[in-house]
Amino acid sequence: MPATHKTTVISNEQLSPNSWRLLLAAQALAEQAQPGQFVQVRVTATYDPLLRTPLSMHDCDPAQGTLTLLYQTVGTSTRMLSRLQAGTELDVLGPLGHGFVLPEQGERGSAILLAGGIGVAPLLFLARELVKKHIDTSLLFGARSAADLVGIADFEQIGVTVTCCTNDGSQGISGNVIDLLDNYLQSHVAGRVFACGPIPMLKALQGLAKQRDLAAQLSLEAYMACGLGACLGCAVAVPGGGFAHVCTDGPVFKESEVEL
Amino acid sequence: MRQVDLGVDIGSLRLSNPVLTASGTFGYGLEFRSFGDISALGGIVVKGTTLEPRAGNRPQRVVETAAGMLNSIGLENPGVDYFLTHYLPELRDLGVTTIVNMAGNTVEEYCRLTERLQQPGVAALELNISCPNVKAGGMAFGTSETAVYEVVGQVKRHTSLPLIVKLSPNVTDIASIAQAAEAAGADAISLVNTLLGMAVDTRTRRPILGNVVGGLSGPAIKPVALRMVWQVAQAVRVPVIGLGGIMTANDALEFIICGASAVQIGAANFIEPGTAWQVIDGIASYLREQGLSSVRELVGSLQF
Repeated sequence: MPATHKTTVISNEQLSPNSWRLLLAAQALAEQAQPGQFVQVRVTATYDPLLRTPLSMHDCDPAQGTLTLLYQTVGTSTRMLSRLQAGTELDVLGPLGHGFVLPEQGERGSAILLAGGIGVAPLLFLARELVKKHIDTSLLFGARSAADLVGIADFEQIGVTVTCCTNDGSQGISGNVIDLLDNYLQSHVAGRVFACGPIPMLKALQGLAKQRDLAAQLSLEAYMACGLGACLGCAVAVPGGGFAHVCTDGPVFKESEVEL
Repeated sequence: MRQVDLGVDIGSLRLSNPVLTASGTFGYGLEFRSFGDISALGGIVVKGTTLEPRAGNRPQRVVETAAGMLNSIGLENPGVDYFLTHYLPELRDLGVTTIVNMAGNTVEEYCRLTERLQQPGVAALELNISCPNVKAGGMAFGTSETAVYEVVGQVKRHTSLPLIVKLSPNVTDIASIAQAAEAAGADAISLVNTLLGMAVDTRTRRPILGNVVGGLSGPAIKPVALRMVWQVAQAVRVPVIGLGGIMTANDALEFIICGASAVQIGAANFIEPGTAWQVIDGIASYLREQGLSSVRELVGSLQF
């Protein structure tokens, strides 16, 4: 059940010009969190910014009682978040939403994690759970530039094969992550795909999934106020008309469930 | 600890305390059960309900502004029948004081909706004639005295439940609108709904909201809401329910002192889901500190 938690900043580390990794002491959250769920952090007790900031859970360690958030400084809230020092208290609402649907116990096979830029954020926590289930896991990671390919070592450390591409060719293959996936599928069995990234990337993945009959799960981002299903702000169109809500119906959807 | 009486009357409805949650900010209450006992609230006003289901407006639907937020949800809701079968029974079993916010496109639609809502478990009706986010109806009813008089009078003929009329702040003279509602039989007036606003993305020069304009809520609107509540409280004899940017018990007390018999917590539910319960506790503490025995002594007690 979602609740507000008083967490404490353990570290807040800059990984690139605009990406940061925040480690929080958050025992209760770490015990409940499922990969793909998200939290809403309140960066200030004042009214500007007013709303909480939705962030996906990058990693989670119930034994240590820690939660890791990976975020990009894109606006006032995230810039304020990047200034938090170790020891600061942070009000975190969560865990929220429905995460990734994981393979059943004993199910084998492989998984492809598809990340676009900061969309890599929810995938480490997922990778950890997949590896625990003995699923052969690969990360295909695309970003604008080498500096945006953050946190790769954490994936490699748990046995995930990482292949990168950049738009400017500064690291890995030059191109986008959908082309990378298309190439990858020439030589690999199409397993489950778990994706997070910008809307054009997810839209292209929907096309490819249809073409190649892939089962993909997409983690979406949306502007939202509450994160609890009350404001109905985070609407995403669904096939056949009407809307789903990213906060409670998602943030993870099957590729066929949403119209991007 | 000294007991204080928090009970207030809204027409024939006695609320255990003056704190309600505003329509569209608290879902059907059930979404907030992990934050407190929803039956301990003065009541909840459920999401704006229409006769038929409504899909709502296209995204982007919310955007943050200075100390506030704009929304253009567009009354997305599953329709009255779904509410009656899927939410009302559970709310009734939990003993929640449930007030249903009603929205329509025509007087006829408001009347049919009112008839459908004559059900055990519905404590009162809130007539929404102030939604800024739908093209037909909504605010169009709430900005003319004759239209307000007509719709309130017609709806009143179809119900014996207390009828609260929710006013739009997007008018020239809020007191006259409130008086028209009272003359037509309103049992209480709630105000304010959101203030019409907009925001622009300067990189693309496009409106940020899919609906171009939306309703502003949050602490940014509190001084405007408070002024309007004060004006209306002086202009009508029926109880007034104040809302608009209430974040704390102190904010709520300002509204009560200005003449509100009860308050509604709106945008604050999005930021601190436990706000409504904190406001109840804060009002009780204030009464004890001030040596008052009942919150009713505080209503309209503004000193000059």
